[in-house]
Amino acid sequence: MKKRSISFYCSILFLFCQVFGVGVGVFAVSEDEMVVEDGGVSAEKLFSVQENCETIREGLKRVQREDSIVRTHIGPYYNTILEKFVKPLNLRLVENNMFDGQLFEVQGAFATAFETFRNDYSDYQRGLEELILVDCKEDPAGFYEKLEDVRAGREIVNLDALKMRGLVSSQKGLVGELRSKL
Amino acid sequence: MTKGGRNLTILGVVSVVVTLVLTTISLTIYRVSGDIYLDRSRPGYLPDEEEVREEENDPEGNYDFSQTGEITMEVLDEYLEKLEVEIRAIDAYAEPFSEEALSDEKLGI
Repeated sequence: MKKRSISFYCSILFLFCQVFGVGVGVFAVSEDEMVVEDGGVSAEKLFSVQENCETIREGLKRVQREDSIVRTHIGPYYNTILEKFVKPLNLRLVENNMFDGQLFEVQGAFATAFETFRNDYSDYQRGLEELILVDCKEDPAGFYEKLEDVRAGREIVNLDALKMRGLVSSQKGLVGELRSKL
Repeated sequence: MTKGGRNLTILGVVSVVVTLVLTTISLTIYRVSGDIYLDRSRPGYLPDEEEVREEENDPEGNYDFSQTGEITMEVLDEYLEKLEVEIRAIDAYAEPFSEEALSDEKLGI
């Protein structure tokens, strides 16, 4: 009975080791395949996000600060152009019975573009702050997905800034034309 | 505790609670509205000394085109000259929000 019990338990132990060994073999993966590809993002990128998480986060904080500097630099200049150049000129033209429809259109478009830039910039910065708070070690796929969203937001802000720059050029061109007619 | 003392305590507690509630509401509005991202007075976002000096020494910053008066060639010449100063300042940042800053290469991914 004792002998049978020993052999019985040895068999059980042997079977358990077999099952455990198979399980380890199934789930053991190479370093490169440690993170499963998710949503089209390569496994290498996801691994890189995990490995360089803190460096990436510091980089994002630097971008956050630089963006703030850029915005506080160009924002007031655009505001100055709208409030001290575009609007006063149109009022003065009306006073002199020299109403110019195109210049008024630029004023309206510029005011709208400036407000849009302000709102889009806030949305983008909100997304960037949320991205920095994501744990890229625990959730690299979620982090990268959020990074793509933030990139899209940044592109929108970039387009807003380019639009305002284009309107400033339009203003300059129209005023030049007005001058040539005098 | 006297009646007066008790009332004073209640007043103090209610004042603190009301303050906390209103402060919470203010900060929530500050964050939700997006103003927090436009506020450079946040810790870590204060302007550098050089930037402050630059702003103080900027003579063009005080230019104001008058809403009244004649429209002459000279007036428009000055207008365009001052406008060009603003444009040059804006163009100092050629691509203010380029995609490069968040690229995989730049972030080290």
